[in-house]
Formats: sequence, C-alpha cells, structure tokens
Amino acid sequence: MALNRRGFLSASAAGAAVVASKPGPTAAAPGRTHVGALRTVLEQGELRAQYPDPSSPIVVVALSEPVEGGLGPGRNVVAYSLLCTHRGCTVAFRGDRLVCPCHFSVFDPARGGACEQGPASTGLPRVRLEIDDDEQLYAAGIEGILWGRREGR
Amino acid sequence: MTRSRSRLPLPPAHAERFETVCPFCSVGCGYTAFRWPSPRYGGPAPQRNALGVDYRVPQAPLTGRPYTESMYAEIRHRGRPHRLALVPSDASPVNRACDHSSRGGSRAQSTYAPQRSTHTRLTRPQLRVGETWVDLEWREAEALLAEVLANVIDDHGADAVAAKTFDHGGGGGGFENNFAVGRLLFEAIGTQSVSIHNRPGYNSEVWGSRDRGVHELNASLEDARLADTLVLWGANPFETATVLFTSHLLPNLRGETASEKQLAFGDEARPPTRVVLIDPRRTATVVASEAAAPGRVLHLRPRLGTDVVLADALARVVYEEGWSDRSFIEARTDPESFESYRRKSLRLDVPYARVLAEASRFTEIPIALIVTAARWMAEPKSATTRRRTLTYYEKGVIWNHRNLDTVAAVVQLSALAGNLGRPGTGCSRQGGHQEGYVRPPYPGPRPPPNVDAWLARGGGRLFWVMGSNPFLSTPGATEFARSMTERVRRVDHALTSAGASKSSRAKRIREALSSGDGLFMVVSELYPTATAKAAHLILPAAGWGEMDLTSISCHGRLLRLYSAFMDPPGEARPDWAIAAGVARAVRKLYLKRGRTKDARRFAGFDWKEAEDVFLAGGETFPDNRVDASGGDQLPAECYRGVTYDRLRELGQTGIPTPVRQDPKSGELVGTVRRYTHRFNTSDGRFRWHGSAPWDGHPAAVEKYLSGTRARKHPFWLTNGRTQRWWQTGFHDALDEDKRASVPYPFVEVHPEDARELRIETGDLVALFNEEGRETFQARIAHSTKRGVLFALQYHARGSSNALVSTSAVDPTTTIPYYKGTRVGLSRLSTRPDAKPSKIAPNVLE
Repeated sequence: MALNRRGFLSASAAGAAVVASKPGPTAAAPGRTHVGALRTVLEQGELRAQYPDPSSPIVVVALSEPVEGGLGPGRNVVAYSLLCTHRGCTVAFRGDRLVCPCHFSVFDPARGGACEQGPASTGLPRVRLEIDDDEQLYAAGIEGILWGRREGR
Repeated sequence: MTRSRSRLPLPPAHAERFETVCPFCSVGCGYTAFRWPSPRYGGPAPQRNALGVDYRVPQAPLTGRPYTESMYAEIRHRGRPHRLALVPSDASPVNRACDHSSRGGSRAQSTYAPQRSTHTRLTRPQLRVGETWVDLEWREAEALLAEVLANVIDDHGADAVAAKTFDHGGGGGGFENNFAVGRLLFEAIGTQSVSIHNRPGYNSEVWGSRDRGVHELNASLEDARLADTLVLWGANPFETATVLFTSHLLPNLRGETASEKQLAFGDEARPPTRVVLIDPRRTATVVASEAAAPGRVLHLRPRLGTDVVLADALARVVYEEGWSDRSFIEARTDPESFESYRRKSLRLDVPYARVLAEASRFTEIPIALIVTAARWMAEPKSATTRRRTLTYYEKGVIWNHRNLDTVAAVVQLSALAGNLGRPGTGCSRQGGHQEGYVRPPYPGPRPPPNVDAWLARGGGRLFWVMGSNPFLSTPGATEFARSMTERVRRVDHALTSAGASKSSRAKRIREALSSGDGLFMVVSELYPTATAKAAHLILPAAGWGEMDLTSISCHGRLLRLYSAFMDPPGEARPDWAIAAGVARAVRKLYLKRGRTKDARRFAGFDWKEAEDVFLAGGETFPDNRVDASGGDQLPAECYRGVTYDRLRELGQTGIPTPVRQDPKSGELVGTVRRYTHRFNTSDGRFRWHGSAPWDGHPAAVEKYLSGTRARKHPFWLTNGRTQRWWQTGFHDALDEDKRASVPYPFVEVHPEDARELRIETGDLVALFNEEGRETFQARIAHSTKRGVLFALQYHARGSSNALVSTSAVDPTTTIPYYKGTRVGLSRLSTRPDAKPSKIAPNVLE
C-alpha cells in the first residue's frame, strides 16, 4: 500500500469526521487529502490510497490516453473508489480497466467510471483530484456514492 | 444521470414495503420496493431506516446490503411526489445475499415520473386522425375498436383479426395479462392469425423438447449448484441471465458448493466442476468461466448453423465410448423411437470415424475437441457412479438452423447419458425472460401460419400489436414496417375525410376495409414505439410495478406475486383490463344488434381485480389433485388452487410449479424436480426423435454462398444480446447511462477484417444484404473468428433482424433462423456522434 504519512493522517481525520456528522439534507464535502506524487503514478501506473477515511480505498491511475478531467502532462491521471458498487469487493486496475474479481464487473476510467460490463448497476465513484505546484496529488471530493454508504464520504 | 447525487435518501423506518421480482431476464431475482412521501428520508441508525442497516459505519463487502444511486427514484403516487427505493431482496433464494444484476439494479430508473425521461409514457387512449393524435376516453376507444372488430369478423372472418402479442412472464405479461389476452383472441374472437412478440407465428421454440416429454424448464437452481459438468449451449448467462451465473454457476465452478454436494450425495466423488461452452463467439461467459475455473473450460465454436451436426456427433461419441446410461434408456425411454434415433441421428450404419470426420468438417471443430467435450459431458465418474451433467441452452440453439432437430438433439444428448430427472442434471432452457403462460388452446394448426408473411401479402384487416415492436424487431423488420405502413395508410382517409364525424368513424373504417388491402392497426404499449406511431389507435398499458401480477422464474419455476407499488401513469391500464374492456364492449354491441349467440362468446370478462384473472386462468389447468408421479404430467405452469393470499404469505420463497393439491390432505405441494418418475408422454417414457442428416444451409442463406452474391456478402453474421442493453431497449433507451454505454447497436469485427476494411472501434458501418440494411457501430474485438461478425440483435436504433429473411423458418415449427446469415459491410462514418467505451464486452480478466 503506497501511502505516505501525511496522507494517512489526514485520511484518519476525515474518517473521524464522518462518524461524528449529523444527518442532514446534504452531505458536507469531505476535506482535501494528500495521496502522493504525480511522478509515482506515472512511474508505477497506479497508486493506492484511502479517502476520505481508512475504510475507503481509492486508486489513482495513469491511463494510456488523455481523458476529460485528467491531470498531469498527459492529461491521463484520474482517481476512483476501489470498492465495486455491486457488492463491495476491491476492483483491480488492468489495461485501462477497473475489474472486479468477484463477479467481473468492468468499469471504464476513461468514461467517468461507467460500468461497461457485469452486474454492477452504478458506475464507480470518481475521486476529484487536485495537483499543487510541487506535482503532489490531493483527493478533494468524491462524485457518487461509495459502496455500502449513503454518501460519497 | 444517476451519478450526480451527493447523498442517497434512505427509506425511513415507516416506508411502505412491497415484495416483488425483477421484471427483466429469466432468473427472476427478488426485490423489495420501499415507497415513502417526499421529501422525507430515514436516518443512519438501523432503527431509523427501513433497510435496517447501520449506515454510521461502512458496510462489509459481499455481506453488506447493496443500495446505490440506480436503485433510487423520485416518483408520483396518488398524484403526490414520493420516493422509491428498489433494492435486491435479502430473503430471496434466487439472488442470494442481495445479489443483483445491472438490469434489476437500475429498474428504479425506468419507473414513470413526469420530471424524468420516462415522461414519454403513453397515458391516454389516442386516435390518429391523419398526422394528429386525438385523445379519446377509454369508453370511446373501446366502442370504436369493438365495432371495427365485430365488423371485420362479419365481413372478412375471424382470421382477418391479426395480433402480435407478448406471451411471457415478468414485466411484459404474467399469468393475468396472458390469460385475458389469450381468452379474447382464441376463445372470444377465435383467430389463428396470432404471432408471438419475437417471432412470426404462434408456436413453441422448444417443441423439439416437449415432444420428447420434457418441458424446457426442468432444472432448478439447486441443480446448477450440484452439477459435475455444466454445458452452456448457445447461452451467454453472464450477460443475459446474470444472477444465475454469479449466484449459482460461478460458486459451483469455484468449488464453493462442495458442502452442498456432500450433503446431497454423501461420499460420491466430487471432481472439480467443468464447463463446456458451445458458441461461435468468445463470449463474456467464456472469459468469466476461464477466470473462475482455469483448465476446466472447453469452448467449442461451431460454424454457424451446424449445431445439430455437433449434437448428434457428440451423442455418437457417447454411444461408441460406452458412456450412455443403458439402464436409464431401458427403464425410462421408448424402445421403438430409440431405434429411429440410433439409425438417423447416431447414424450407426455409418462408420464412427467417418461420422466424426464429417462432423468436424461441417462444424469446423477438431475431432479431439468433440471427443473431449463428450467425455466431459457423459463419462461416468466411476464404474458405479454417473456424472451429473446439467445443460442450459438458449437462443444459439432455439434460433439456430433447424429449430426442432437442434433442440431435440441437445435434449437427447442429455437423455443418452441419463442426465434428466436426477439432482445436478437437466436439460433446460436458460430462457430469455420469465414465464407466465396460461391461455385457452391456440385455434390454429401446427406448424402455425407465418402471420408476418401473410400480413405482408395483404392478409388480415385488423392488426392488434400488444407490448411488442415488430417494426423494429421482426425478421425482415424494415420491409415489414414498410408494407404494414402502406396498408395502414390506405385506411387513414376514413378518419380524416370531410364529414368523418365521431359516430360515423367505425362505419367509414368498415367501408375503407371493404375493398383493397387496407389495415386498421391498434397498438397497446407503454411507450410511443415505431410500431405504435404507425397505428390508428393507441391504448396505453400499465407496466410492471403498476399492477399486481404473477409469473414463474425459468430456473426452478418459482411462482411469486409481483406486487404493485405505484400507480400507472394517467389512464394507463393493465393489458388484462384493456382486453376485458374491449371484450365487454363487443358483447354490448352484439347484444344491441340482437346477436345473443355471438355476445355469449364475449361473456366472462367481468374481472375487477388482477387476482380474479389469475384465479380464472388457474381454473383452466387440469385437475391437480394427484400424487408426485402424476405431478410429472401436469403442465409446467400449473398453479390451480393457489391464491394471492397464499402467495403473499410465501413472499420471496414462492412455490415451484407445477403445483399439485395432495389428494389426501388437500395441501398445495410445489415441484422441486421434474421427471423423477415419468416423462410427460402418454406412457411416461421419453420419446426419441431421429433427425435427417445435414443437408446444407437454408436456401435463404445458401444463395449468398456463390457467385456475385458471395462477393457482395463476404461475412457470416450472427447476433445476440448484451448485459447493458435489455432487448429492444424500450426502457433502456431512456436511461442516460445505458444510452451512453451502448449508443448504437454494435457489431464486433475481427481485428484482421477491421484492418482490411480500415475501420476502427466507434466507426459507424452499414451491414446489408438482400433482406435489408442496418447501421451499427463497429467494435474491434477478438470475439469471433475471422470472417464472422457478431451484431447486437436488438437496439432502439435498429436490429440485426432486419437482415434476416422472413422465409428462413424451420418448416416444421415456423421458428426463424435468426442466428446466421450473410452480409456485406461498408464504412459510413469515422465521426460518430457518440463514442463507445473502448472496453470490449468480453474483456473481463
């Protein structure tokens, strides 16, 4: 698990906030969390982290082609929840796809995490990424509902 | 888009709760609908939401309860905004542990709401006056149709009333709607000019099995978990019967059902489960099976149209190698017809080696693979223990060349190795959808007339299409739509010309129909489909969730109540109520005309509730006060004695049909396994069928194999369905996610063919032959052999059936050969307006 100390600490803080939050009409946006260096993603192809709390694994991936909203010089870096929306198994990044080993749902990270095959009825939640001047990546929000929760946090 | 939500409203603890079953595929997963008034929502503590889930902590994988954006919708009920959560049931024996597919998991999106894309639902009866649609009261619509109907019967005979109608379970039918429509068409009107939603006649796709004494739905989900070998023939369950695969076949392949096998069979050997897949395409099911059971998957890819040869060759291997079940054959099957089977199908007068060599040449499958497949299917586990092999077959078999012979050959291969009537065995249709068939007998011959072809030749004067879209999907659809539209237009003047008052409509229609080949067309539908738009009269139908209905699943024939959980839109009505309303109007008209005898045929439609129709249908089954042995000979759907109250008590557990009433106690008893005692023949013995030897492709295809036609049509074309797009897309076309996923009907092209044609994934291409022309979006994929194309069979934007000849039907059944023809391909555009995912449907690993 590639995760630095800074990322872990802020992910923990966000996790604590979830438990303490009160039900309301809209969910408060989770905070910004450092997930790693752009260089690591480009070198390794993927980088795993946890966001917005330790029980929510995410993956930052470098795709083979530029995509809408992609970061980095190749505009190809995007991030998604690793928890399959079907039954909550952990998906794997392979050949520009996110594939669930349990029931073979296949998600397309180039199309916003849309499910293209398999039993999942909803796409994978996309993690909003931000980049700073030092080419450090931050998770800054989730679009979609995480597996087993009622919100993207 | 279903993704934009930041928080999903939980159903509050007080939400109303309804048990139902997914309407889509053959599997019939249990679902629970929670409905509550807007804008309330439940809290995260388990006692504060109706799911009983503690949302204060994240849920665990596999054991957690799925509830996603696609399972939530805002609807209207009793005229007020409500919220709906449609979630997989946690009590279903079908979709265990809340398993679900992409279809059921997104069914909430297809519910009607004026603020969502489903606002296009038909909500009032409408009459087309020229190019204008005029709203009618139900009373007016029924009176008009009743008068046209009675006049057509008087002037042209009952058979001049043609219909194309649903006949299935799940969303489009159910016992209630099927019975009402069947009683109207077959008993009251008495027409034989009826065809079933996806084919040109009124026939069974599986007479090849039923004639053997074997109903096609003979395996239970338990069998799927207990089998030693699974055979999937022309079936792609991962995509089209998803939860059968994910909840039952996959666990068996992964060895996760070992304890159930131990419980059922004690110390009997439990070799690692094998699977034989027979499909010209490398389907997602093949790929998923290889991932789950490496080294235990055999994939046979027959040349299109030759499956009957393959089945009989496999049977010959079983016979020659001594793997047939002699005691079963002697005790349970008919000796006389077995001789015919041995001579004609097994071809025992032809040397074994020659039969195999010929079969290999015709099917293009190596002899060694044929022998291995037969071994996996039939070789006993030991000298005393037979292998338990379960075969599922689907459209690759039933819609293949020589429908009856192919189905018979597949079932007989199972019988030869004793794989019927024992746990872990069977030879069962995967099914396309659930079933719910109860109707008076069809008044026509077997094989039935090809009603589509007859209509195209000018037959019939009234054409009533119910819950189907033949202008898109019937064989030769484009030509069918053109000829029907022309005939319909010839009647238009009766409704538009000067002086066409309301009261004279029916009279003027009668005059217009008196000469020439004009056709009055009626469509009962949910949506304004291409077929509906061409009609004169549209009757708005209620859909699943808007009416109580009952159906059986295909894998274990589980009868359950599918409860209504919301109102139909506007004045839409269940099909049973539409049929009954028209029948009552005809009766009234006959009585007014003093024709009491004719009026009597249209009596008995005074149902008030769905259950009244259910009970009336139940009465038509034979006396079911029989013992278990007698149960084997009851119709597969028999539910006589069952009530809605009983089904409500049973909930998701349901009761497997045929249901019998115990002669002593009167208790209702379901049937878990069929044919343990007898087959459904006069003497209870399995009847064999000797089929003719291979005699080439049908003429409609053979013509493309030589000369100029061969050069113009260099590709074989087969077709099938896909996970993300259900049938014609009557609902899915309105779902933004699904439309983005499958923007066009797609055609898979082999990379080498694609290179020569200079086409890339996303290009729009035309497929054409002398039957028709249709636009597809190319997907370059290693899924078919070079020279073979695979097209999505149905899509809102077109169907590969446009390229299928109306004349390519099995003459013994009138079932079309949908699965193979020849086409040319030309590139249309490199800049489509919608880019598909680069991910090919069978790239899963």
